[in-house]
Amino acid sequence: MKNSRWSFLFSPYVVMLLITAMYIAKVFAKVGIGNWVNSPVLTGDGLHNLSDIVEAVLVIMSVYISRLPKSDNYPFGRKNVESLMVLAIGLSMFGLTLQIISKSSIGILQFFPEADTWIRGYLELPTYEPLLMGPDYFWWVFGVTAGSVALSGIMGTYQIRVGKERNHPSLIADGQETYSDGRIETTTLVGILSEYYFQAPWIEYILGLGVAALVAKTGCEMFLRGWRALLQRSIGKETEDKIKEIALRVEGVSAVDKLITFSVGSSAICIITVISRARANMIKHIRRTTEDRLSRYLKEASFSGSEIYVRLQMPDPSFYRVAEAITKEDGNLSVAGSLSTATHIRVYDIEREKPVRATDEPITGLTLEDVVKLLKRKRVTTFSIFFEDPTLEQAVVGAGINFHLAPIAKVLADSAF
Amino acid sequence: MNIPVRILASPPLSEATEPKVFVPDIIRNYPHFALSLAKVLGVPLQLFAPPNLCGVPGVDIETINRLQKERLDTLFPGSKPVSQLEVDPGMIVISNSIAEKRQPYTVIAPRYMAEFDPHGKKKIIVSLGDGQAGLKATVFAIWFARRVGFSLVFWHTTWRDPTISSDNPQDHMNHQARLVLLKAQTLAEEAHVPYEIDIRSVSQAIADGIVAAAYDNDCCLIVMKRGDSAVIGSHCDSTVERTPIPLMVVG
Repeated sequence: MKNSRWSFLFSPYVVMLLITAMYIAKVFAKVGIGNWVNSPVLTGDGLHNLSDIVEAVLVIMSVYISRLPKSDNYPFGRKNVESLMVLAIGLSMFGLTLQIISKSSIGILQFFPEADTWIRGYLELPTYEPLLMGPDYFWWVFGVTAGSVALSGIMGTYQIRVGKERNHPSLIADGQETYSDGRIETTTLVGILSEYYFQAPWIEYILGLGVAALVAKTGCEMFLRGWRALLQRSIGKETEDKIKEIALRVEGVSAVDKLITFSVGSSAICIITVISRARANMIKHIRRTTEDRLSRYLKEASFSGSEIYVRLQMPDPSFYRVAEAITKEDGNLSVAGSLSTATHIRVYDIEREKPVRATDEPITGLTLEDVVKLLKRKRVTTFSIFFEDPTLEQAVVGAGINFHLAPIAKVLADSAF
Repeated sequence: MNIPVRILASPPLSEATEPKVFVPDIIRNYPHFALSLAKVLGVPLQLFAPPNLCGVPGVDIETINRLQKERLDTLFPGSKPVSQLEVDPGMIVISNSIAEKRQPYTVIAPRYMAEFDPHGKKKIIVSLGDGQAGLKATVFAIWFARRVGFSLVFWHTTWRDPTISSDNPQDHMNHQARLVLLKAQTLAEEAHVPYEIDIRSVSQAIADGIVAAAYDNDCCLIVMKRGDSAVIGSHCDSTVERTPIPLMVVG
């Protein structure tokens, strides 16, 4: 359809123009027939559709604004205008809910005159407007209402489908409202039929309360969706945890330092800072892969689009010093077996778990106390030697330094390769 | 402090050879990578623990060797210390720095991976060109893949032939490259190792191309061999520089 000559039907503007035309037709038909048959229900419903026309115009405006390109002043675009629209439609649906509850309750109350009088003693309720129905008018009223139900169902579905395809939440929200209109019209239709065939209009009022609950639920969902997007609420812990897991599985990423997520319209924005020791010419691969994988995941998580910003940060150097007693003899070098055979203390500067610098401090002639003082002065955290020596261990540990037996007699930074 | 290690492994190019993993040097920080690779490959871990050249008065070399063995066994359970460094031309050396040099033996550069943990990514990408180097890499990759139950991705990048209008990069491969690809496919089929083919047009530096393809195909290892004809630099050298994914350079 999208590539055919009917593709113009998938333009959001065309959809909303058709919706506006539908509401105009509904207003004329309902108000006209309602006045003719003296039905305040039908007339009131027709007048309610006037507000739908205003809403349709607002949706067209929000779609237009949301499609404006990004700029320096609007780096994420203006898609959130649709969230504003979704919030407004959600609120309007609460109004609609109250209206249905009120009409249905008043309708039910008129079957209990005593209760009606008692409540009206405390609350100022609108007058009960019974459906005026006669056999001469039935088919006109039935035709207009049934036609409205069918149109609301078809057009609501159409709006939601185009809204999803073209990524316009305001169109989807308006489509859901059109659907809700259809539900209300269905209860009216049931009322007309039950009045005409069974003289039992109360069925309409009971159904009306059920419809009110459905409309309230939809309104609540819309309101929350709009509210969360506008206030840039995070896209949820579960989704964020999955984002971190995916990022951690990218080779070259050792940790996730920071993650900020929020929605703009129905798109997800994800700003992630990962820790990586990768060299400069590896960074682009890590960034591209992280972006690709996260973008794929967010699409699966039902976001219509996403913008991923990956920042790479080197890990903290975690600087510390270690030392080992070594023996230098005839050009040979090994970890000293004991302090008495050691000629030097080799002190290593460790950054990111790698020795980056080493110095040899001669210790020939120094006492155990002097060696411990040297280790303290050099801020050594761990000291190694090859053989066990309880006296040395006690002195070193007593100075707050870890004592460690070297696993092999080979000196730490004296590589065979 | 972490105890750094390297692994040397001797992958059998024929089933008759006994495989081994060998750690020649406790210098670099690859202990977990060494252990996890040995575990994945199912081969024993050998550690190079040289004798104390200065000696210790009153202590014989056997005592030192015994102590080294006990301590290394605590750090790397099941490992075996070896006091002689014997470089077997068939073994795999695990080292970032050695992978950057032309060496006779095979090297795995773990890059920044602390462990060889495929995370379900059971694919190895093999870089093929139009020479024999790619086929030698394929033989090694097949050995590795069979040993651990992985599949292969044969990757080739090709220049666009202006006389061919097709947009399919495979149509732009030269005759020699096609033969190499066909031979690689035959080798994989004979070894019953599943494979995929990823042919791309050259759109960036070749090394960047293979790293991108490795990421796109969810591969946990890149396998390459330096071409014998290269006299200055090689695609391998460039890839070692650019890949955060472990790279095996076949010797």
